[in-house]
Amino acid sequence: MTDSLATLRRIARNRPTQPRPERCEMCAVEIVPDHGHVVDLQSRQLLCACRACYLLFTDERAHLRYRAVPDRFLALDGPVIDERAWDELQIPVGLAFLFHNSELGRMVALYPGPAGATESEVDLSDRPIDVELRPDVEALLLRRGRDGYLVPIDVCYELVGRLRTLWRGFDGGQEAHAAVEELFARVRARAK
Amino acid sequence: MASKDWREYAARIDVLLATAGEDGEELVRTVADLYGAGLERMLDLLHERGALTDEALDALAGDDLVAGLLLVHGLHPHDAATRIDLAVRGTGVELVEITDAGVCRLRGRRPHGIEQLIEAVAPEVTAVEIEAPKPLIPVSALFTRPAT
Repeated sequence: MTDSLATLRRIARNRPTQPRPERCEMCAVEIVPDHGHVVDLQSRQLLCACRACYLLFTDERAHLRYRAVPDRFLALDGPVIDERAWDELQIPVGLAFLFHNSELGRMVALYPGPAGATESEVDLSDRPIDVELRPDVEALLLRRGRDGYLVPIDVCYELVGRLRTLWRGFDGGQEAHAAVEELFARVRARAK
Repeated sequence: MASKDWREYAARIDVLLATAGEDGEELVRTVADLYGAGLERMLDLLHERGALTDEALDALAGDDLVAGLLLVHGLHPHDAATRIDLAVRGTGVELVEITDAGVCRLRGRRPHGIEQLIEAVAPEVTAVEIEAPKPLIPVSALFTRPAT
């Protein structure tokens, strides 16, 4: 028997017993599970960051490509957008997040679905939103007729990512709803 | 592509992995897992249709490439004892047993490279132990005076 496949056998057998530690996507240093994120304003991608890299991008007035995602959770009083606005947004799932996109210079509304986040095409600019929101890094996470929170935008990314894998059928199905409930419960606890 | 010897692919993987680091290894492992799942599914489908006859299984086991890949994924049709038995023929050792802990116990004079040989045909073996061959004349017999 020839031994050409020794490497494949070794790799198939030797599996790392622990998941590999996460690394800062800016400087590659190892980071703890509870690390911060920065937003790439050009690609809208979220990067995992170590504390040092995170702190480089906390200045809100700096004109930089990256911006650190803050850690602020607030419960909102009353609906931020009323029933009519929900209808206009044409969001089928009764769940949306809004944030100010500084590249576009306006508010955008997105909602989760099986393909990730979809942007609502309705223009929100004539609809004043009475919450002070840090552009690009904070979002309003809203459930129609229920509740709303100001959250760090990485929370919305997390929700979109999870729903994408769980989504079944038109409205997401049971597992997706359970994931939404679970996330809102966590957000509620942080917002107190 | 089909004309290329599969051993060249294997050798190329070795070369590329030497510089690829952890990410490369994880990628290879993941791709291998995918193909392993496919091989397993294929065998299941054939088995359900009664196509895995002894003749078919022997043909799979007798092909270096197929048998080698099946071994990578723990899908080889023959059990470890059969594979080892076959591989050690003519090397001067014989298989005593494979313990529950996966230790392969052999008896005989240690041939060169026996560990690699065993690993190549039975990667599930965790260790190789070799005991000396049973002497033809018991040592104790040398010290007993024959009755006169």
